[in-house]
Parts: sequence; structure tokens; C-alpha cells
Amino acid sequence: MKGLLRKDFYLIRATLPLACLAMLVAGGCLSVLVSANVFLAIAPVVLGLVALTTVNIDRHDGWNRLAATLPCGPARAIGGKYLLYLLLSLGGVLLGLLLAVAGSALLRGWGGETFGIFFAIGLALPLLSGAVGLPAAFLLGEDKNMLVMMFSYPLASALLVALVLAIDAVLPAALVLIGCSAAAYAASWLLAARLLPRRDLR
Amino acid sequence: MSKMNPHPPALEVRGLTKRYPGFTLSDVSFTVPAGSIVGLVGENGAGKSTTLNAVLGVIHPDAGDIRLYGRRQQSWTGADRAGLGAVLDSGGYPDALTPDALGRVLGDLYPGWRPDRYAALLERLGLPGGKKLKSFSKGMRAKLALAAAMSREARLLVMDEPTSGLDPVVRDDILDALLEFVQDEQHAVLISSHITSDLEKVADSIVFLHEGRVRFHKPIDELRDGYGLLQCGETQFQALNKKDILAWRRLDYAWQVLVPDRAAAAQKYKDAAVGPASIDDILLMYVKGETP
Repeated sequence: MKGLLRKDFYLIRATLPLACLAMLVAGGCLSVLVSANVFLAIAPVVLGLVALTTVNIDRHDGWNRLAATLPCGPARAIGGKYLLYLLLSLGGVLLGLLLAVAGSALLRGWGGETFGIFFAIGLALPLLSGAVGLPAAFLLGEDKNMLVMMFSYPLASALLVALVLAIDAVLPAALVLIGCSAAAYAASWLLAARLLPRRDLR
Repeated sequence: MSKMNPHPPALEVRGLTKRYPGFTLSDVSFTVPAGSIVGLVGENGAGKSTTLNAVLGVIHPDAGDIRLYGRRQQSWTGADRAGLGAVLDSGGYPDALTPDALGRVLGDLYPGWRPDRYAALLERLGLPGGKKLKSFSKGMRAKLALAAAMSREARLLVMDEPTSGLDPVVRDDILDALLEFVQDEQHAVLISSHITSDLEKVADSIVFLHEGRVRFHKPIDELRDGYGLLQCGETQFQALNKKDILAWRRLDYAWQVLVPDRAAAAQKYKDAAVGPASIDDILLMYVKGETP
């Protein structure tokens, strides 16, 4: 697994700073308009997307076929992507946390409840979209995969709204959303590691 | 050329079948003995890549049995997979990596990785360790894939068109490396190629695939020293014993006949011109000619 993560690190080494810069600019602008807490939602999503691009790079380079012959086996090679996505998303949560705290201090606009909501979204959104987007990235081409990802974000947002309406309290609904997202991600990981190695690679 | 060692087979393929819409790889069987190089030949779409992909586990056969040093593919462990070196037509190594970075990645992935051997091979094959793979030529990529496979405990190399599009000097380097690889009689190579002259230089035997089926698997010596092309006219052709014929083609002014025993044919049909047949000639006769 270490080798797979190292390989992916080499792949994203160049794009990661650019993605962070784009996230800083977008998050900075939104912070002025809304709240610095937006970093909590943006950073994990952006870093998760960077992880997702490595699946397409692997396909382009032919690494996906070579990975089927690795000693770790195809299931662990697929698991490596889920781990990378999780690590980068969690890294995004930490980065978002730092930027949100720093931004709030700078803008003097700390809001406890919005912090909690954005923090929950920052945890849930990448997990939920990754649960859908990762298998889609393995199974579909780059264009279709982007479409799936685009639809996964409003889906996650709609789920949050539905939970808030059902539970009638924002924070408990956010916690339920995190739980559901984590369960969806775990289920996606298990199913992908079990089912995807059975398909033929072309 | 390396010496053949019949026991135990590095690779055993039995009854391999894979169905696609419009194409079926049907009941493909052959063995690759340890210490040997086996060439897989056939026209485009004959099933060479399908066979190699099935051996590598990239695709899953509908039927058949694949064994690596006696172990069935379904029960391969990490150690078994580590014994398999793949050199794919698509390359497979990320463009963003340098050979040095790739060495570190493969060192993490393969327990038997030998960095000293890898570094020595990079140097010997003239590959710059710090240059990104995206700037590598096809020849450099093929050499790198070979160096990577030879720097670990790979016992069987499976190579899909490793020399296509390469200049003769690079091809020669690669063929030399393959001969060195099998010299200890423990390693083996299964290689598909359209450049049959390369196979004539290094292969111990040839598996010929045509329309998804194995037409023959024969030692290269038998093909080179035994097979022959007989040229004759209409009357002579009609007088030939069909048992002496493997395939024939009608050319503009003559008949071309593939015979399994060149010397015997030359003696028996003294009026006909009998010469040696290259692998290309044999393939052409089977693909474009008629068979009895």
C-alpha cells in the first residue's frame, strides 16, 4: 500500500499546490461574502477531487492494467485509491479548519453554529461524493465520471436538507449526515474491493 | 539461443477460452518451459493480447486453466504475482515519474526488489534516472519496463510487442537482455511480436495464433530447419501428395506450397524449387493460403 500511495503522491505533487491555491482564492472570496467557515467545506472537497484525478491518470498511463499484476493484488490496489482519497479529504478537513479559524480571526466573524454545520458538511460531502465518485472513476470514462461527481454534490446537499427537515435540528441532522456518509464510503470501499477486480480491464 | 528445459513449466495454459462479441479466443493451450523464450505470433486480432492479458490476470477467462510454476491462477499469492513481470504495449508506468522515483515505488511494492541491480540496469541501458518518463521514447520505455521486471524476483516475463516501433540497435539491446534473463534456466519469457525476425533470433519455440485458435506450437529449430517453401507449376502442384502439404497459395505464375519437411520435399519433388521458410512465410501461408 505504501508504494501505491507513494506513486500517487508523485502524481499529484505538481497539481496539489495549484488546487490549494485555487481553493484559497475561492474560499477567501467566499469568506468575505459569507463566512471563513466555508473553508471547512471547500478544502476537503478540492483535495478529494485531486485524489480522484489519479484514477484517470492511471488509466491514461496504463498503470491500472499493471496494477492487476502487483503482488498486493487488484483489490488492495483499488483500496489504495480509497485510502488516498480519505487521507487527502481528512487533510482537507484539517487545512479547512486552520484556514477557517485563521480567517474568522482575521475577519472577526466567528459563528459557532455555522462552524458546526460547515464542519459537518466538510466531513460528509467528500465521503458521500467519494462513495459514488470513486467506483464511477474506475468504471466510467473521464467525462461520465465528472458528471457523476457533479451530481453527487447536490445529492449530498439535498440529503442534508432532507435530514434537517426530518430531524428539525441542524446539528443532529449534520451528525446523522456524517454517519450516513461514513457508512456509504465504507460500503463503497468494501464493494469496490470485492467487485471491481472481477471486471476485465481493456 | 537458450537451451530448453522441459520441467517444470514456468507457464502452463490449458483450454483458455474468452468470448467477446465478434471474437472468441478458443481452447488455447501451450506451455512455456523454464529457461526458454516462447514467441506468440499471429495477425492483428488473432488473440495474442487477449492471451497475454489472461495470463497476467488483466482479463478473466471464461474457461481454461493458467498455471505459473505449477500454481493455478485462482490461488496465486503475492509471491506468485511478484514472480510475474509484465511489459505491456501500453507501457504502464506513470509519465510523471522519473526512473529513480519509479524505483522507489517498485521497491515498496515488490518484496524482492533489488535497487542495486535496477541502478546498474538503468546505467547499462543508458536510461537517465532523473528524467521524467513523459520525455522518454518508446525504446526507452521498453528498456525501462525490462529493467524494472529484471530488478525483482520476476521469474516469468510476459511481454506484449516490446520491440515494435524500435530501431534495430535498441531491439538488439532488448533481445540480448532477454537471452541473459533466461540463461540460468530458472527464468522464462513469453513474448508477442510482429517482428518475427526478432523471435527467430531468441525464441525457442513459436505459438502461432490464428482467429483465436492455436494453429501450432513448434520449436523454432523445427520451423527453421524443417519447414520449407516449394514453388511449382500447375501440373506439378496437382501431382503433389497432399499429405506432404501444410498449406498452399496460388501466385500469379506459380504455386507456393508450405511443406513440413524441406529436405524430403526437395528429394521427392526434384523438378520443384524448395527453399527455407521464414516465420513470416509460414504465417502468410496459414493466414492467406489454403489448407488441405
